[in-house]
Amino acid sequence: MSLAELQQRVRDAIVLGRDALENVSLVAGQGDGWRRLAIHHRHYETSLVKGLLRRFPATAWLLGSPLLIEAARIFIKACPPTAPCLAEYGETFPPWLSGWSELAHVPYAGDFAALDWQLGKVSIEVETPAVTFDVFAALEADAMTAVRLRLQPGLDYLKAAWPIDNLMRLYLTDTAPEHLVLEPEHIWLQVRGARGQFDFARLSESEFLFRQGVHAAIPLGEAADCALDRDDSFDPGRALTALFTDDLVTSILTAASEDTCEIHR
Amino acid sequence: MLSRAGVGLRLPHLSEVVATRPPAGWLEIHPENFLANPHAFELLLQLAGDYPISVHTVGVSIGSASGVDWAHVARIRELIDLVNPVLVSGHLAWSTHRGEYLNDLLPLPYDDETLDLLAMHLHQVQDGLGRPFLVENPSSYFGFGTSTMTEVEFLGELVRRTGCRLLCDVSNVYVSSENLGYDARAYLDGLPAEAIGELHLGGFQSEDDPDAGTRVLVDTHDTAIADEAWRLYTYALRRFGPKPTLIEWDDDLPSFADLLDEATLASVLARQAAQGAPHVAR
Repeated sequence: MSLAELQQRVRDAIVLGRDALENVSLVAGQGDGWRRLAIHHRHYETSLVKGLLRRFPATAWLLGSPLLIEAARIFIKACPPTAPCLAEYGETFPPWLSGWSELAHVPYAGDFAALDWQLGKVSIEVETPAVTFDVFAALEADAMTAVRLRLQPGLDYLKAAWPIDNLMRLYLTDTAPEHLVLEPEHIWLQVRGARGQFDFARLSESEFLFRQGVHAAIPLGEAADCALDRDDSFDPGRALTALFTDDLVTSILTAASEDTCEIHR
Repeated sequence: MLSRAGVGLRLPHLSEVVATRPPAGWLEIHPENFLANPHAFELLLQLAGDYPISVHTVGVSIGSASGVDWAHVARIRELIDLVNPVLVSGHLAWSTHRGEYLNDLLPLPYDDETLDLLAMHLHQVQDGLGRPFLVENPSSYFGFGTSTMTEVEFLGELVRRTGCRLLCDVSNVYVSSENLGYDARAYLDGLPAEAIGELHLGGFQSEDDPDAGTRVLVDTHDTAIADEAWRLYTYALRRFGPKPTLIEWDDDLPSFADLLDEATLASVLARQAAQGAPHVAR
């Protein structure tokens, strides 16, 4: 048996908890080889489930730890980590929760977990010095629509079909009522954080589309068009100014030539 | 430079260490904890000016038949270039398979195929990191019947082929010797002393297996260093001489002061060994 084949079998035993080691001779002193291998399976399960619970504290509050642990146990078998840093593991857990049949009665669970994930993600980022609007204003007027902006790293945008932000505030302020009726409602959120802090706020749909486009580094003109397609009363000038007054812009990327020119503060 | 023992710096202690600058001889980090956490990385850079840093990777899988994640090696290289560590190390193990990270250090069969693979990966990793890469002996719960050499023979051959240095985890030697039934001191005697660049000490737990009527030691890093490991450490000091020594504690962390106490004991034992003092039992 080649090393590659052996490692595939050990992988299956560890991830799936399956006895996939027939014809593999294990040496374990006085002990039983399979039981010893199970130590690795247990470590895989325990450490990743614990990691997910730590990464989704609000979701554990919403669903209860036993149910989230059950979900995590299934998820780690279906979707093992694909990155070396444990803190990066779990981004696909929210959409997986959305499709998990056990949570069909909690249709907002996936959206809520996505917000939970984003809050944790932005809170470990580092804010960088912001560019002021007068730097942008100094650009040639006819070049402005082609400009792309780089925004703060601790920034993200997500939309949901439920008022998950209200639910999150109940968790964060520990003010959950005995009974709460949640009605479907489309919301558009900006999530921002750095150095252990985070915040989130609702945006209008057009503002969301504009900022999301800018965040994805599409040219300002295209981002404004996205917003105007949704709402012809959208004011690109006001929206652009707001990006600077909120200290969100960290650099301005112009394409005056084939080379990108990056302008910092 | 590293005459006093160091301690593992884990994220729950990071803010405290930045704020209070405790008297640690040096600090060891797992780069995987910092690469995905820009704020922690920012704080680490503040510490790098005040403490010698050792980079101990748990994500560079030199034993994987499906290959090493070179993108990850490149990220670690960037961190190394900024932190300028005094030591860089990893494990005689595999932890990835076809793009999946199994979040554990898994055992290898010790045969020619594995040796060829590790020697190749080790050359490439050392080139990629631009630094010598110390290889740590694993804690083992089982071995493979297909192995054609012992772990000590395997490590010795790896050193001979690659010129790499070794990180001898004394607790791992004890754990593996108990689990697999060999003599821990004979294991230390068999290692090439001139290749030893660092020693580790960590806590482990004993688990009973009532069905088999046996016990197994599990390398948990969640408790104080056992007396047996301290005794083996003094033997290792006599065998190898004083070496940079690290106290590893990853789970159920005690206070940082408690870690420093463990490091102080290691430093005292190392000083006594350097002076030729007789064995000191704890």
